[in-house]
Amino acid sequence: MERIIGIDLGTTNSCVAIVEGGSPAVLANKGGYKTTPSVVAISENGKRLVGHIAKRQAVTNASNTVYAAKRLMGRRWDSAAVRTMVDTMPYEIIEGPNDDARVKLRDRVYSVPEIGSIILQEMRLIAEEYTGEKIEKAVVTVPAHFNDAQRQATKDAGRIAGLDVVRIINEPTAAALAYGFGKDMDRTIAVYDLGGGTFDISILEISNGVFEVLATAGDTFLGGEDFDGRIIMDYLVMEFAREHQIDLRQDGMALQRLRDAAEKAKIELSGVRETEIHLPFIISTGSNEALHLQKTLTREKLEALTIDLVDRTIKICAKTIEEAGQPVDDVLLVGGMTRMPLVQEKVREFFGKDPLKGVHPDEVVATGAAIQGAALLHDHQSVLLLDVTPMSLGIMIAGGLFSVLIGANTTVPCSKSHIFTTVRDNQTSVKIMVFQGEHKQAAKNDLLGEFILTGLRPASKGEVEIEVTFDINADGIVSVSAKNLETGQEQAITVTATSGLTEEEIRRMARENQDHMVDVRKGEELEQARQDVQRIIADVERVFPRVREVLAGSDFGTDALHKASTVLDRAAEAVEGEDVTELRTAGEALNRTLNMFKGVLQKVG
Amino acid sequence: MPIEGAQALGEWESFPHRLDRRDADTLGLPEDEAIIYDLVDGRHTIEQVCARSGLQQNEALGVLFSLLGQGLIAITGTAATADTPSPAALPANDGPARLEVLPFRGVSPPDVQFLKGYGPLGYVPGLPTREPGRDRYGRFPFDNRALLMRCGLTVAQKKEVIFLSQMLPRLDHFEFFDMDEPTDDRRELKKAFFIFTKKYHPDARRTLDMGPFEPYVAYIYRHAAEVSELLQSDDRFRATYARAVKARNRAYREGLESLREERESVQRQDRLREAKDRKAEIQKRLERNAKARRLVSRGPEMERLNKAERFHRDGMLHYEQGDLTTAANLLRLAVTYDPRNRVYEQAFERADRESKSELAGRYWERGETEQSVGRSEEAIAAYTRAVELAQDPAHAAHLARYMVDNKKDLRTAMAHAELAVARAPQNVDYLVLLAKIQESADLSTKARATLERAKVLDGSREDVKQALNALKKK
Repeated sequence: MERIIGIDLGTTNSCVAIVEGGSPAVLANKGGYKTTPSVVAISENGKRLVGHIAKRQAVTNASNTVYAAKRLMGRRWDSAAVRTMVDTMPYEIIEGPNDDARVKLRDRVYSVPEIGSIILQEMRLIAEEYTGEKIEKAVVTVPAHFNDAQRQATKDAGRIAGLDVVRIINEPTAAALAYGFGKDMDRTIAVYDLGGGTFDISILEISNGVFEVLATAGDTFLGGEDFDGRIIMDYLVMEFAREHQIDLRQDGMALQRLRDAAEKAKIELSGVRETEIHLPFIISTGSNEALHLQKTLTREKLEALTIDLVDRTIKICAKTIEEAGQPVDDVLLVGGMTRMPLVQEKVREFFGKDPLKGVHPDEVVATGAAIQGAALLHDHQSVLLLDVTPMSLGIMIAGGLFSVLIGANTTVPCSKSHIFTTVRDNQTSVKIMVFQGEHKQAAKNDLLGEFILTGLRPASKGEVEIEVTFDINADGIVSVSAKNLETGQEQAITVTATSGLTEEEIRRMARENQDHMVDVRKGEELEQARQDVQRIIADVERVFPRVREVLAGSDFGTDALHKASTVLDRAAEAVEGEDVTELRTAGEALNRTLNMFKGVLQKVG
Repeated sequence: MPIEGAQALGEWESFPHRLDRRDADTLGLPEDEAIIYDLVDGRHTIEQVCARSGLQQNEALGVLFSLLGQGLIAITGTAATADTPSPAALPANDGPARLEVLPFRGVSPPDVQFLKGYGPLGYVPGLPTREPGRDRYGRFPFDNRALLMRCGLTVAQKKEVIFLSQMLPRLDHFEFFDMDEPTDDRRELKKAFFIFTKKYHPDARRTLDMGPFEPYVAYIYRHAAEVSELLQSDDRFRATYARAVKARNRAYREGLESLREERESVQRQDRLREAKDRKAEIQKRLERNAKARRLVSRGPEMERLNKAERFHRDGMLHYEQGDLTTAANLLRLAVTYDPRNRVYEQAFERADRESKSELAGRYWERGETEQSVGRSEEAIAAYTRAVELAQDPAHAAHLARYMVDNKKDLRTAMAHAELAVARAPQNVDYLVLLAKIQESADLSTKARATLERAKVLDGSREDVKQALNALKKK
């Protein structure tokens, strides 16, 4: 049976869900957790580590452990976002060949989609384990304000992980889907999503199973990590420096320990009024003297440190609600950060109503993605999502200005056209440059693609008319065409945002990943076989002395005993080796011996 | 009016289109408008329509202008494509063929001005497609081939797709969304759009093979989304548009009413005028005849011959039109004026004969009718007239036999039988009949002679031989 899973690829945590028998279920990983940290590490022996294992070893392996890779997704090397990351992250971020950012771990350079793919792969394995089937398709969520390059990078990550990402949907939208699924409602809801790395606000209208996004906005650099950052930079590091005149930021391991402690303290403060941060032997001074960090953090202090961040989210909310143009009936809180009492209080204050309870802020997004996946698979669906374009699309016109053809928050699919004219006398060609963004200056927005329409009739400026048409289909793919209205001549491109990876690179990475998975599978198989054989060896050895007593008397018995010990030796040898087939044969032979022994003992009684 | 008409109608090369699927009869148009309206098919230019109408150019233009004013037609710069609704003939996907002339019937001028600012989306078609109480498609001609095309859509869905994509430029937004009444309630409109969305959104049809309908579904959905967005986001537009459509519907209903009344009064006047005309013509003919008679009595030779010629010409004209009685009368007059002219005489004889045989035919039919209801007196009278007029032997024989059967005067019957024999001397049956009547009338010798004659004609007939033997025995 074909299935489409839903994956919430979060900045700090990821989650996977599936719809089974018409109801969505969030799947737990091997450790029994429903969310998996979005952490990838390469261990000392070159093994890939993902999730909880990777997070646990982060302190000792900080420079080879990647956190918050989502923040680098689809970013250009020279962007401010990457700059900040380079300055604050313990792992090494370097410039990639296609103007993108890459991560260097143990002498191997990984592209950001590759890191993403490792996490997606993990989520896929969880789903495959649960269903016992091969999973090939997924709906993946991204923050609502992700641009095309970031969405494309996410899709590429999927491809590398061997997943066909059938649709990218926005996280708040997914949350609303999960909330409204199966409920007969006719309401306008606001989804306030404050996650580990990003903030999103979306206003949706739900009616009759149709979910229409009215407006959406957000901030890519505003999330739990920033709250942690405030605790570390503005409080712990500052206090420590004041006491000991030592900058803890210089030490990678100390920084990692601070990071963990800050996150833990923040989470605790959602429940209690104050907490201890205790980090013994945080750093040693030049004179071999170890220093400890011990601080008490109160909820009030935390709120004072971060209130401006919360206020920033509220400002964005105000703008978005104005854009939606209709009153909000309900407020839905999504993302772990919304557990913070200050956030809840501010939201309640702003919207004038209590936020909705009854959805799990960490799991709701993946659930929504799974629901959308199921809806895409079946004709008779109970939900239909009307998504919008997150950012304005347009072209560059005279003076470097940005002329918007499709405004932000336009429902897709849609198409718009506009007639432009030449700006110079005897102009015979025009360059159509397609941008995405909200800035009035085209160059300040993201360039999605460009093409040239030639063969215009030489005439005085403003005489020749060119019709430019933008078209976005339901999958969010943008195509742009320009038509010379005089001659009917037409030029068109399908805009494919680049994630910083070429097609070839993606294919190579997908292949490598597949090879890696084969290796991993083989390793697991070997380990399993080895364990099986070892178990049988132990069993045989346990009964061996008694069997020897029974059989030693006869010739036949001596012979059998001799054979049995040969088999046992061979099995012991196979356990040392790496050959699965050898192990299996040895195991089977040994099993026969064991059965024989059991039979003998039974007869004797 | 014609001059203004020409201006409002624009170029000769423009194409008038119908905005309505109903024919001129259903609309109850007056004759000249009906003529022009029938010619308007979207594929002929104004010039061609005028030329084909047979009306004076300015008249034709005036009528076109009036049709335009009633919102029945619109003028565009391009010809319509063929009118069959197979998908291949559905409108192009890159946008509907927008109408350039906006009728905005019944809408207040400020509203028209406001709506025009929205281009095609602000357009209110002059007519509703759905009349109150009628189904959505009216008499929309669906092409069976298109409906039978194999794909994942049901016939009802195909119908809707064909109808919407083809009628799109003629539907107001409420009709498009299949809403019964225009409304400016935002939520109502949104609900209608959501229902639409569940049917047409690409995600809703993702796993469905729509075959050739695919691009039309996409096109319809895009239009719906665009319209919905405008209606949702622009309160003033929504209110104005709803008001305009309401006004249009009211004007349309009133228009239908007044059109019907006007049509009835015109019909009444037509009947009165016809009666008057007929009376005047009879008067005229009487006068002409009197004048002709006067001319005969005193006319000099030349005028007499001229008269004869004119009567001959008129007579031949009537003859050709099949009015044989009038033709015979006129030709008789021609012969009277110029008795020496063989042509006139032959023409008269032919017309006279044919007119008589025609008359005879009518009498004969009446006779048959009377006979069939058993009124023998009347039947015999009619038959007699027919026989006198055309002297047809078969008729004469039939009449004779009928009279004998009804025990009428044998002599008259015999006379008829004799007539039949005289007209068809070779017919043995008539001779036998005559002989029988003669025998009944106790004229055995005559009967015998008659039978002898029959025997000579056909010696093999047994009945003749037997009758002869029986007579001889006597």
